[in-house]
Amino acid sequence: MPLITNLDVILAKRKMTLTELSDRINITMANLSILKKGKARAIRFTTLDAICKELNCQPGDILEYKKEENTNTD
Amino acid sequence: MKLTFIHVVDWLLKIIWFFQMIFAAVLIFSAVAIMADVSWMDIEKIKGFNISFTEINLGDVQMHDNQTHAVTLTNGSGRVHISGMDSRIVGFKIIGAFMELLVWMYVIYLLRRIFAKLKVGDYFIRSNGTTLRKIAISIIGISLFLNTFHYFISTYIYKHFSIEGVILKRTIELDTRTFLFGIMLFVIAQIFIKGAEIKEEQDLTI
Repeated sequence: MPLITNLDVILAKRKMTLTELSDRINITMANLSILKKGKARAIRFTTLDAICKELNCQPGDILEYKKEENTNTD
Repeated sequence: MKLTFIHVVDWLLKIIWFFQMIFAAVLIFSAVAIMADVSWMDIEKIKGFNISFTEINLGDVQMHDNQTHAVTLTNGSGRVHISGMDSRIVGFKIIGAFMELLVWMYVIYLLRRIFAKLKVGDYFIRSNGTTLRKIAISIIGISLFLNTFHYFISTYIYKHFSIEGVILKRTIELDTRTFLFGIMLFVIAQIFIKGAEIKEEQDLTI
């Protein structure tokens, strides 16, 4: 998927760990880990709202769209 | 260990699997014995084959009124034994039985795979749906192709078999019940797969 998450970058900037964020916004570590690894299929507005509120950032700081390069040589 | 319904069915499947193995071994053993033309095996006994007939004319039969009447047997089936008949017929029969057995063994194998997943608590997963779909396709295949195969075998047999006054029936009979069961299972499998996909999506929604 061309959407990537920069949660780890924002967390590093805020000097916060994933566990800490998990405790503060009441979302399980397992779910945050899925989001951090970019394996999530969808993200709820409420989750995004909680993360942005806690990390004091915009949704665009967490999510980024990167166009996939076409590797097909045909 | 707590004995649940799943464990009971799993054991039943194991027993069926065991008997299928025995049946397969018997079929292979019989085929080898026929090919080797062994003296201790009475091949004539297994040369009997099922036929369906439209009409068997029994001729004039004397009835209770001491008069003779023309008697005809219509629309039935039975097993015919003819001594000294071509051994290839037995060969065809064994091939047919072996093919059918292989497909049913595959179905039981797939069912056992599903039950292995159920035993460890993996109920609503995509692979269970795809296995269920494979079972449905196999059952549809059994209902369609095995009957066609049996039709061709009977065509071969009927070519070499003619008795005066007997009209044999030779039609491809679709096993409607099995076919519809297969279709139903296929639809259920497709719904299951879609459901498992939705669940997967839900699990990965943060």
